[in-house]
Amino acid sequence: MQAEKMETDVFILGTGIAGMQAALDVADAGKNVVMVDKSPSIGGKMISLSKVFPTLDCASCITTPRMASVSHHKKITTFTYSEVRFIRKEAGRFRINFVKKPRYVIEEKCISCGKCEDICPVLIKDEFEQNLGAKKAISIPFTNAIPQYPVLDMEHCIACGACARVCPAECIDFSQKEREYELTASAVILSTGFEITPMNAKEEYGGGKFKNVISPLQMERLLAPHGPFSGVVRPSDGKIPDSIAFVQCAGSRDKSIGVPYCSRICCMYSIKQAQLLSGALPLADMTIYYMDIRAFGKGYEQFYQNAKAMGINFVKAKVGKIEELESGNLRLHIERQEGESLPEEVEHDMVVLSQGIRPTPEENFRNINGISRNEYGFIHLPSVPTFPNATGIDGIFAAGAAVGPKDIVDAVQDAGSAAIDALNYIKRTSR
Amino acid sequence: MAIKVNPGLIEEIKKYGAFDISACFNCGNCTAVCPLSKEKMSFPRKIIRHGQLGMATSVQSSLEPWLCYYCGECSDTCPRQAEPGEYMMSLRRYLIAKYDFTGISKLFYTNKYAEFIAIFIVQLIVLAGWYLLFGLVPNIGVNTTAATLLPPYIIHWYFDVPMAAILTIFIIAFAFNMYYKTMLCDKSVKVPLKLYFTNLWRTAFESASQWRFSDCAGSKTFYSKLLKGDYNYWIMHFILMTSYVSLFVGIVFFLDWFQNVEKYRLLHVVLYDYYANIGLIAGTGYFAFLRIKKNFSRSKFSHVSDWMFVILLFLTAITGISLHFARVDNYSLQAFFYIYLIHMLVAIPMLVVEVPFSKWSHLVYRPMALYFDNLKKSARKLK
Ligand SMILES: Cc1cc2nc3c(=O)[nH]c(=O)nc-3n(C[C@H](O)[C@H](O)[C@H](O)COP(=O)(O)OP(=O)(O)OC[C@H]3O[C@@H](n4cnc5c(N)ncnc54)[C@H](O)[C@@H]3O)c2cc1C
Ligand code: SF4
Ligand code: SF4
Ligand code: SF4
Ligand code: SF4
Repeated sequence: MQAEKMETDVFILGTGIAGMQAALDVADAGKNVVMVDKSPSIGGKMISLSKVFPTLDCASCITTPRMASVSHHKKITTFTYSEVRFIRKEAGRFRINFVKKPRYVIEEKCISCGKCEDICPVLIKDEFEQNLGAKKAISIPFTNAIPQYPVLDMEHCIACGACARVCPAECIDFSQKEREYELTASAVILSTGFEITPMNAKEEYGGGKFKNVISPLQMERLLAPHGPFSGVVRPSDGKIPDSIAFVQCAGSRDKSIGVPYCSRICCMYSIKQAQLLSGALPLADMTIYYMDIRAFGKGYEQFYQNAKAMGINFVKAKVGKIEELESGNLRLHIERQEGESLPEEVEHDMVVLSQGIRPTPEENFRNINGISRNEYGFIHLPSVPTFPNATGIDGIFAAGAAVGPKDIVDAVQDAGSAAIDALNYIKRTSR
Repeated sequence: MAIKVNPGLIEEIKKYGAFDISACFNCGNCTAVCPLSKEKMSFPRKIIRHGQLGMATSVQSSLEPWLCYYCGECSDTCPRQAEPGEYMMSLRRYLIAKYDFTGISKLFYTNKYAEFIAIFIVQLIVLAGWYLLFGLVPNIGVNTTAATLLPPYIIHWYFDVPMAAILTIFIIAFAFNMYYKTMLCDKSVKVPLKLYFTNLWRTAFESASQWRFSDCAGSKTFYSKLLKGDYNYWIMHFILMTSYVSLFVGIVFFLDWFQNVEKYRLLHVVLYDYYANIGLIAGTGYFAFLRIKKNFSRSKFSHVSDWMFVILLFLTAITGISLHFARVDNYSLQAFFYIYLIHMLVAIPMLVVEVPFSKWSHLVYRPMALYFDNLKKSARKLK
């Protein structure tokens, strides 16, 4: 099949909060934007969060309007569920080749009624809910996803045809093929975000093995207003936990797992989650085991002090290892660095491993000619102090957590700065 | 109370082999995972901190290094890869050097050649003694037997006894120094005299069996650990230690019987010919193998003194066995004479140099530390 040809001013890879901010800034300045994301909805990690520090605003309440602005903006075109094959600089412009994977749904006709999802008999793991819940083999990615088109998971579909029969718009197409696009752009912004440290990075913590040792993103979902269980319960037996522990630096500041740096956000999101938990489970005890609390932004120290005042326990101790007990409870080995500083074992119902920020995998950058990664795997920025969004290639800029650990505030500011860089670059080179 | 700080302390300790311990950021992960760190005896994080802060008195009065059996769990999980286990090992060397007020141990540990030179000097002395007593060529007549050529009582009085005397004097002096530093200077607990007696048996059992090793392999059950090989180190160490101690006692205190196979023949054959010899050779072989393979944290770094320990012990065992066969089989007095000489040239320097001044002194310090720790624990309970 022929690749569809397109042209634009700025191409943005990744539609997280950073990508969306950059797109809006560029588009509001009158330039055209094309965005591509590999997931079926725009919004990145932020749309899956419960509330955000330090204001405790509801994350979807502030992300959804952003997503809507992006999708309705005349100058922005978004492609979700798509993969970039390569980005090459040719004759001063960028050639971008990407494919839109088949959803097996004709988007032009779909009215997002959800009938296909209701009737589908196959249940699969829900990635958006961090595998805590289930969804159908054909389903709209999540409640406030944009676009609101379902995706059919061919791997699990049993080809019963129920969805095709029930669809009022006759838009299920089992033979849909991927579509290839060939785009020319004047500038590029990379905002591919981050991943969290794999749960099994430190074997001693039993992440991925012990049922009640959960990831921070799972806790975000448990706390979200429309989360998988509509409440905070522990995965092993559905019990409402009485005591929850947070293990700080579980996936950062640790040479032995190859993440020697501090991920910045994990202290803050743990404090946030503990505060939200005090609201959700007024009778439960929350304990945060930390090496140091890094409350790095404006108002963050106050946020931490508030948490202390709310009765959240802060214990200076790095958790050494975790054991699972028969009851499903967890036993943590710590050295409490207070008073006499003695080794101790403590028990909790549920444990959150405060995993850190890791770069996205190497494949993300392999097909972008000339982009290099720094020693930790984030996009390398050669002229950091004075030109903090410039990558090694003139005309390609980077923003957000793709360049290193960042919270939302920093990612948004960074995106604005990348947008200005891109606009200036276009102005400079089009003369 | 004012604490005197020595800013050069950590650099000094590093001379004894500590890995990049300055990288430690004091998180306590090591103490939390250490299977032997219990209650008041909290290590290694605290003692690392004291080292970094230059608290020399506190480091020198510590028993903790002797209570660590270098299972390596702390090093395996340290987020800074600061090798806390190797730090504890280096502290043991540092403490050996500090208990030894003559400065000889320090020289051995901090100078690459000192130990070789010392061994050479003792060898010269042994050779000179041998020359004066027996000459360098055996004087063999028609009626000469092993016992008349090299009479055990001469060896006993001219070699074993002086050597044992030297060892004992040094060891007792150093051990007293340890007692002074770790017990007398510790004003936080007062140990009533009675406890010194009541704790004796417990300590004797714990040191003889080296029971603490059994705690090293995590919290699995005894049998699963045994089958998985988690106890191999403990078992081999136990065999090596008992072989060595039984030979030492036999040679130094009962040389007559040691050389006279006929008396209590069965005990002699089983204990020495089989158990001790095989134990020494298998044990030294096992530890040398681990040090070459470097699979475990505790075998990853090898100090010169660690190699010396294994090699000399191995040579002693080999010459000891050859000697035994030369005497029992009675084949050549000539060979017997020279093998005996070589054996003395290996064994005596090894004992004189290594036992009080180097790695072997742990044979004395470890049980003492256990004893003192038990005493302090019991004393605290009394309160
Ligand atoms: C548990 C948790 C709680 C948090 N809580 C808060 C909080 O309360 N307050 C706060 O300020 N911050 C919080 N953060 C941090 C916040 O999530 C990040 O700062 C923010 O999401 C960064 O946005 P981003 O756009 O840079 O990256 P992301 O949100 O990761 O977006 C990247 C986007 O790029 C896409 N992408 C990646 N690779 C490709 C590719 N090859 N091709 C196409 N698309 C690609 C992804 O699909 C994604 O949509 C939290 C983080 C975590 C883990
Ligand atoms: S049933 Fe048809 S129109 Fe309705 S959401 Fe599914 S695919 Fe779209
Ligand atoms: S932000 Fe806090 S939990 Fe995260 S790596 Fe830094 S210190 Fe550790
Ligand atoms: S040695 Fe390692 S584990 Fe122990 S306190 Fe220092 S950094 Fe932490
Ligand atoms: S080596 Fe083992 S016994 Fe020694 S301090 Fe480390 S964990 Fe404890």
